[in-house]
Amino acid sequence: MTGIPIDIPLPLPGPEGVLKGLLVITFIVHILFVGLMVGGAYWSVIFKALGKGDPFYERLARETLSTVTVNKSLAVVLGVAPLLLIGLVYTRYWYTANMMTVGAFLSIIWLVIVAFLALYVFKYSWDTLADRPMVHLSFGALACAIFAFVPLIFLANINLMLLPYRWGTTRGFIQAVLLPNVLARYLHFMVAVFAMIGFFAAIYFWYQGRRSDDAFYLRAQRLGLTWALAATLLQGVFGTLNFITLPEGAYSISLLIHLGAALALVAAVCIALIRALQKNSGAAIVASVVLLGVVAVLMSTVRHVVRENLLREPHLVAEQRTREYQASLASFLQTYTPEGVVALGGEELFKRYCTSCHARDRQLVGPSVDYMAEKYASRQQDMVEFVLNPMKVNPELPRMPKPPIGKDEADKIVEYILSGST
Amino acid sequence: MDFPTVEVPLIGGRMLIALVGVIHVLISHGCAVGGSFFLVLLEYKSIRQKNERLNELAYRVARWFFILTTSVGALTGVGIWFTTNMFSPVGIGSLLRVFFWAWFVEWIVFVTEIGLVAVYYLSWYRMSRSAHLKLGIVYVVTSFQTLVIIVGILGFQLTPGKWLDSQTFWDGFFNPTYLPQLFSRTALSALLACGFSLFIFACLRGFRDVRSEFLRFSGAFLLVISPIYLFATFAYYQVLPARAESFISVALVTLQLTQYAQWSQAFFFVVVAGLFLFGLVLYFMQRTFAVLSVAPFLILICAVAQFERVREFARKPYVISDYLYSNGIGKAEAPFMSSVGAMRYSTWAWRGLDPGGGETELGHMLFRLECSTCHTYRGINGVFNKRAILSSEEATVQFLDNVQYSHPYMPPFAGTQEEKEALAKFLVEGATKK
Repeated sequence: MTGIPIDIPLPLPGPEGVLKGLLVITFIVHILFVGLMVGGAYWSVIFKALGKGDPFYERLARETLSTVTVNKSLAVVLGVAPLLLIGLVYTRYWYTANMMTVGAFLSIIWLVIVAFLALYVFKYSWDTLADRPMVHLSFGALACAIFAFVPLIFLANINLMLLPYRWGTTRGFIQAVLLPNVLARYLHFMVAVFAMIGFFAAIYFWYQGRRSDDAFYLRAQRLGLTWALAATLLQGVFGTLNFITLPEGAYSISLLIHLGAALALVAAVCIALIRALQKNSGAAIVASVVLLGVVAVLMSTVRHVVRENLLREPHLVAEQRTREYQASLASFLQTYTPEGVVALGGEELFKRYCTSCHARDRQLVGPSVDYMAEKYASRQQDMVEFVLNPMKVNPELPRMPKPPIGKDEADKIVEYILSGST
Repeated sequence: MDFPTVEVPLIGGRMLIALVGVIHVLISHGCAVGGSFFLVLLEYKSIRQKNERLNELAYRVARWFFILTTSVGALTGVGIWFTTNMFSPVGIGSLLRVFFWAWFVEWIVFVTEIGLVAVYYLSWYRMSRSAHLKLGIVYVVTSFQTLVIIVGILGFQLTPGKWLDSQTFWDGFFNPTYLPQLFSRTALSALLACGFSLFIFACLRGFRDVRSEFLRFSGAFLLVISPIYLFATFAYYQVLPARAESFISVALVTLQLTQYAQWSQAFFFVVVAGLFLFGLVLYFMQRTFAVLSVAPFLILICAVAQFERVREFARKPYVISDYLYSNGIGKAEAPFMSSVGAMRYSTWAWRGLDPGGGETELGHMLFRLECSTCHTYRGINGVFNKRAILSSEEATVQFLDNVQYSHPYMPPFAGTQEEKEALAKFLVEGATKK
């Protein structure tokens, strides 16, 4: 038993390859905005804290934060498509992993709401809390702390999903975090976040300042490029760590080819970044961003290949189990005839609709049959009326719910009760 | 279908879904769908009357709609996915396979909507008045689209109509309850927006000079929309399947309230009458007497909670009507499980239990598999609290034999006679233990 659930017996709403391709693409867009949200929040807090009194950093923090307002909303809504797609294509694995870490997984919602509201306070109290900088900063810091934690939950689940053979021995979120690759991948992501915000800042401030000779824009742009370069180079350590900690069975030739191509492009990105820094070249910035886009696609493809490699064998077992189940269900249904509509007698009807609340000689949820028989002994029609439209009679007992029966059935039941035939 | 079972102590998974769901409906209907309409109308009025202060007021209200929509609204929307995935994996997994492309389109509209609300609010003073108003109209239409799509899916669960035979997308989408529900939700959204705005207005400072204009506008708004809401909701109740209608009396917050069921019928009339009355006061007196700042909002929260509760309850005992039971067991699967045994294909429900632990452990496993979607142990809708029904093992077995008839909102027990007895033993033991 692998514990991989039996598949849902409805067809996928399109070719599996198309849906998987869509998953990879929509995820790239989602993670881009997540990066800008997390990186932007960190930037605005870091520069607000560092730049005490320095108008450049103060302004940089504030303008970065204003981009976070839009980027964070898009990050969330853009995440819905990959969320649906992963649930669609990897139903059994994704749902099961989430359920194994359910407390942590559901906390994401409340944590991110708190983070977003904290960011709004941080933004809209920028001036009013100017004389209480620690209070003001703590709102931003709260959001940053949450943003540091939430990716860990996602990464734990996305990793747990790929390791069905570990499901039996993994208990809860903490153990899921300790599975191979989770922490390495987390560091890889958090460093990438700073590269993303660096690139974004370089382009954003270049665009904002294109018709201005304000020195702020050039300085902000160069700062962005520096962060982008530094973070990209740091991935030499964290990317390697991520690669070597991949679980057994993840590696394949296709993985290495994609990764090789991505690494070559990363080198080109770095060269373009250095040129952009040396010569303030807009063309070099554009070149580096385009190259980086290709890198993102390649890296996401690498991730997809890892998923496929790890799930290939468990999936065969799971499919086998599903086929067995469906086959025995189908053969059972061939011979099974559902209960026909038979006219039941009073006793059967009474058992079906009444015995969950009424016993012969003692009060359960409702009064005893003996009590009713005595009360309605000479008023059969009144009792039928009551059964069809129950009212509250005894203040100590709940009102009887209206049973889903018609007049004929009510007649038979009442007749049975009043006959006292047991 | 053998997914892990998730238990939420005390309140149960269903109540958690309800909590997230109601918050989401309040924000998405009130601040986005209805909110965009209310704001653009207010903005239009301010431009036509060249009333700068009223325009500024609209901007300040828009800020709160913007903040709530992009944080609480968007996140609880994702939260509905998270929670329903956890508590009804087979149901949501099945719906996703039928409606994926509708949801995908919904997603595109939704991303557009969030983009538009940001641009609408953030560009308030950066665009010309007329251009901004046009942008606002685009925002209204886009928000409405999200409702147009989601109602198809919600209605499908309740009344799949021709889909059960054809299993094609459009038969499922344009199901019998589609139009009345869309109509009712649209009016509800507009009313909620007004409720939110009155509340926000009461919290804002420095708009005393446009106070009477704003209150008059809100009053007129309530007077126009509330009769529409009554009519639409009434129409919706008319097309609810008869089976569902008979449940409405038990669809109160808990079964404890069944004795007040007659109130449920009159409930929406009371809501609408109240809103209409508030509208009259606001329109003619232009005063809130403090209480009218929160009363429409509070009364609408109750209306939303009750409306969603009825809708959720009305489709019982199914997640997808006539196809899949609320505990994730297929209608066609149930007799199969009764024949071969429910435990045969379950691995997750055993987790943490001892498969060799005898009848009680087997009963516990069956409880997780078939009952825990709706019941907690001792919390809301806790099984062990139902001592009268669980008076003896014999009575409990008899109850399980007929549960789908005596309690038509519950699915039938699926399992062998032996399993039924094991479940009865587990339930009775739990109920007698304090």
